[in-house]
Amino acid sequence: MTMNRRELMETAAAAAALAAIGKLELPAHAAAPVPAAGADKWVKSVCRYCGTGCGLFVGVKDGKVVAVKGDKDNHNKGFLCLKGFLLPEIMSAPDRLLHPLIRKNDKLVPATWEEAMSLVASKFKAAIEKGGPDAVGFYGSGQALTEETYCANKLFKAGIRTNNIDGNPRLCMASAVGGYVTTFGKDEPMGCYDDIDHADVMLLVGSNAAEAHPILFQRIVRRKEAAKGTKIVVLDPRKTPTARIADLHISFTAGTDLAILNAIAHVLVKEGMVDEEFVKAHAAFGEGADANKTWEDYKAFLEAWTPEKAEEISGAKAADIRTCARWFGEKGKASLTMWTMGLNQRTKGVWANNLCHNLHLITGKIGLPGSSPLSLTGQPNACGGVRDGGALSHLLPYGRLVVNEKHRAEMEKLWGVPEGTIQPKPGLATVDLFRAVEDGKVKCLYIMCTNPGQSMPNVGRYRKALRREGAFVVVSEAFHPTRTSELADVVLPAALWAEKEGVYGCTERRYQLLEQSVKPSGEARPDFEILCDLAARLGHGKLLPFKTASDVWAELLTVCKGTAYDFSGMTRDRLKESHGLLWPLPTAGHPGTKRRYVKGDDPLVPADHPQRILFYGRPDRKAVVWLRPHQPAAEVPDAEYPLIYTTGRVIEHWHTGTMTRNCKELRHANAEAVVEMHPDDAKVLGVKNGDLAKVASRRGAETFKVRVIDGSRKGMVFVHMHDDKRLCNLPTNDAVDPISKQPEFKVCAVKVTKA
Amino acid sequence: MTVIAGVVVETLPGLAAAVAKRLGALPGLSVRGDDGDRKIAAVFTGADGAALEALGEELLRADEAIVGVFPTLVGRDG
Repeated sequence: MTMNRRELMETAAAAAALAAIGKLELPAHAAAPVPAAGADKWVKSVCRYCGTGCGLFVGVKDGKVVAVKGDKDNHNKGFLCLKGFLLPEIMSAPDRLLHPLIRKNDKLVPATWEEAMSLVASKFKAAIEKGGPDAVGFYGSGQALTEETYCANKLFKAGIRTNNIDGNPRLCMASAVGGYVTTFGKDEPMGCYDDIDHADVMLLVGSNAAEAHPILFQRIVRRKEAAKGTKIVVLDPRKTPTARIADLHISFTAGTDLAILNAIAHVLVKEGMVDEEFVKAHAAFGEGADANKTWEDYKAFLEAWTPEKAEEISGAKAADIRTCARWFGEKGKASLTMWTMGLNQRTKGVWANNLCHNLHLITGKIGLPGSSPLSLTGQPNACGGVRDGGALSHLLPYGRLVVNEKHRAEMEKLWGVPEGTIQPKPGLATVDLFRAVEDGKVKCLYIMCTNPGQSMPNVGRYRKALRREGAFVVVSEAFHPTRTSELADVVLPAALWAEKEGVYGCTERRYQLLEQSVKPSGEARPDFEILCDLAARLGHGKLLPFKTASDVWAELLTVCKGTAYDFSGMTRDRLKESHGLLWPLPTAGHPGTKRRYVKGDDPLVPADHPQRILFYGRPDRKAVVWLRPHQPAAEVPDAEYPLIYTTGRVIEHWHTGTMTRNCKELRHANAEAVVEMHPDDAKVLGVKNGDLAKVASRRGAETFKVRVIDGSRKGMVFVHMHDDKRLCNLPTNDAVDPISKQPEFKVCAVKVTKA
Repeated sequence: MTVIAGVVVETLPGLAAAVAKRLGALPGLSVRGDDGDRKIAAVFTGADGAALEALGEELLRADEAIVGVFPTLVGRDG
């Protein structure tokens, strides 16, 4: 059958809508939109929103962004979700901040750049002189460009000499990082988006891809339609739009999925679906923090984790767990596991990540087309900028660690600073950083490109901390007011997305260049320039001598060289020519690496290696299968707080909504956070659709309109995270995973009363 | 240039089929299926994004059984 372009587009649009309501009628074709008209020029870029990293072109007319169109030569094949399609609207939004603001007499008033930067520099200098380098801190973002994050990291760790630099990826992907590092020795996935096109079984755990990653969801749906018999299993307490297309939806009590994942492994072992040869060649076994166990120990550990025991703990049906395991483990079938915040935002998030990796390692379903663990990232540059760039309080660039003397020495040499400059103790991770502001240990905090006054867990506590007497808070932000900028002492107008140049790195190790399309609005400046200015004012100008973002990139190519992240062949020119490049990419002519650790694909695996895979991230060249029992969430329901509270995304909005609320089509679509609950719970509480209900935890409370839906799990209520008026994070729990320091947004105990 | 969008229309419970029949008569909107309860999948074709927004507003205003109009994928032709 042949279809013209119009028909293809209509089919794709229909498929998207049908998939969203749980009806699959997709063709085996993918559609590519035609370039839109009306622009004078089209500039290659990347979507500003989620971690999918969709390639697009920015249409410019008369110096303004007037349109975007998907890049048909990129992985998204020309498709964009609605948020991406509406990106032009954010550029000229009425709340774009066009000049610096300084707080005077408790009001933020316009100031010149000189006034604002002088004030910032003087406050930082005074705090450092009085309290030492650790009296200041930096809180960055998985939305900042790689070059910007690198400048901040270098300024704070090598200039100011504090490791108090962290970022919002601590709130979203830190447990995935912990999972990769503890299992494989190095961060970042080994798989890629192409694996979706080869998978026979897709296991989505704590991922509502239909709303959080719509373009990847499209690809999942296309695979299911193209290859009859493809199975999709969704492990999620809620019956999400993603769950509606599943062949098997396993609902369970939030926070109990470790029991289920161990039970799946139990069935895989019991029913002979493991790959003994692969295990022998490539797996080590561990408990606690050490790889000190054996395959036999692991099998003995799994004995207790029967599907029936998992059912008892989680409420999931033992028969469903068996079905899932049999589909996943069937010999000759490719199995792909994808997960997001449902797994990461937990006090046992790293363990949960480990258990996903376990399933692939014991079956050998890893490093093959369609067989991989693949975490889906929430932000466009959490991977490339903060994780890979090492801009967390315990990291140094490209897999190096603050606590590792050799790594510190390498970075000191690369950065041209004296031995002993980089402090050997990790700085404060996000929650501790804000607590240090609260107790006065951190006097000055610089917040860039993120909105913690809305996005932190237990946010009421940290909003107070940011306004504490004696705290000095700088916010660099494209919009004002936000729920963070309203708390600041200085707000710096930052250039937004198409107004600046830099690199984003998305989920699949794909680095892409965003070229500058238009000039910054008003007096806004790129964060890269602002940081270089600050460095000069603090006496560290020699550390950031860069004139352009390209200059920073040239330095990055030397910093990554020889590491497990080596992308030193990824020159600026290659990035300009390409539609995204996947690292490792250690030489100029290398095409990039789809599947990491795989011989013949990954250039860091010797061509003469005797096996198809080499887990070179760890000294023993193996990946670790961890013995991780189920443990409950930090806070579980009780008589006083009888319901589980969880938060998440909807398709129309993104993060704290500072951008999507500026799109008129989206303002009217699901912008207000409502509390979703099961009909039985609503009946007990005496509430109905549209009633106001107060959701209260031990930490805080917020009032929401009620939405009664059968997709909610009984005993659990859900609120989306995007509303700046109704703060879903007043009740959430700021308890953190002891390994990743990631907070447990996804589970806490609340009581709900009619308001 | 034409905008083509996949759209989910959400209705009051149990009214998807009845609303789908009414939507089928509207120009620029092609109904592709429903979930038998409260959601309809349709394809919108119009001049631009503003037309898409206007359709959503018009549906919400004119039909009390419709509680939401949510585009799922938007592309351009021409």
